[in-house]
Amino acid sequence: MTLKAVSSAARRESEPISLVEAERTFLEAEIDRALDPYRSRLPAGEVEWMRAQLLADAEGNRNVTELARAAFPREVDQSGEIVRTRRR
Amino acid sequence: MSHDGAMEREREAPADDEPPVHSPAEIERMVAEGLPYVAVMARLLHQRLGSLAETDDLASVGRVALIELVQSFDPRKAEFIPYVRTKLRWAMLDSVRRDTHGRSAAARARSLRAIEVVREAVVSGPPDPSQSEAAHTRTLRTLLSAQAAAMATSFVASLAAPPTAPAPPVRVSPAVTPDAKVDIATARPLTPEDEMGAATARDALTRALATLPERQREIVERHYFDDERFDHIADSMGISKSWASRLHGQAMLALAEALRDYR
Repeated sequence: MTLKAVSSAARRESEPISLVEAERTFLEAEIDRALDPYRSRLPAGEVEWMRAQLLADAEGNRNVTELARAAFPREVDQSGEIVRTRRR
Repeated sequence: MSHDGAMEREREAPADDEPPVHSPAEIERMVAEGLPYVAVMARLLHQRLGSLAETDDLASVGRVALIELVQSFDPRKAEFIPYVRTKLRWAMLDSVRRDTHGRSAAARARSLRAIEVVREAVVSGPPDPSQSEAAHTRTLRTLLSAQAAAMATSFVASLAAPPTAPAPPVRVSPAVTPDAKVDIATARPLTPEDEMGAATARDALTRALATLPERQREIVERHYFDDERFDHIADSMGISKSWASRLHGQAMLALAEALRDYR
């Protein structure tokens, strides 16, 4: 990777994008899924803090928000038409 | 342009691997440009760490760090603002980790650094548009699981060293011997239920650690239980920092798997 590309990647990462509500809900559900194994073992307050940090980290990094957007399930009706599209 | 002049400039230009030398005026300009980010980063980290790390303390650390980091800033390798933001955050987290604010804050700071390291190892660029939605979902789950395992490991390490592992033995650091156990989210003593849950988590972590390949286990033990920085661990193991980060990411994924299955 060239120095220019490194620079460009750093700039890009530091410019987070906003998720629409449905995408954010999806991301939160995935975070909850990741935290499930710890809910019965760690103090509730600690798990809630972990949840908030995972969400803040994801939303603060463009690569992760774009990944969440790319993973966000699209609804396709029987004709194959995409009913709900991911925002680009 | 004279040939001599060009030669002179060539001699003055630093080699690729040499840090640049900035003039006092350049340093002053960069410090002025970076100062607003000190306040912003201090406020953001205070929001994430709570009363365990006060904004003013973090800002003080940030101001000192800013002066040091502008001197080592190399414009050939990075853009200034992303560089300042990242380095300031790391400097502030490291200061908290060094226990100046107590063990609870140190554990939280270590958690925040660890989830960044995991993210960098798992998601190094934008998603590949040629991949399927399912593939992106797998990557997202991999990232979040590994990050969650890193935070859980950090929390458990903050409470106590793991009990003696069945085999091979897990290092026990004096820095994490049990004393006043607190819920670091609230800084209140753990309830008996919390203690039981934490003991289960500690047991699960100990068993999971014992199953890791040697180098992965060493990184986890040294970072989470001995509080060593990743770059120091990588240096002493004779591997690059990025390779250490990758091993750490793999270890966190393995721990996440093991902890998910542990009953």
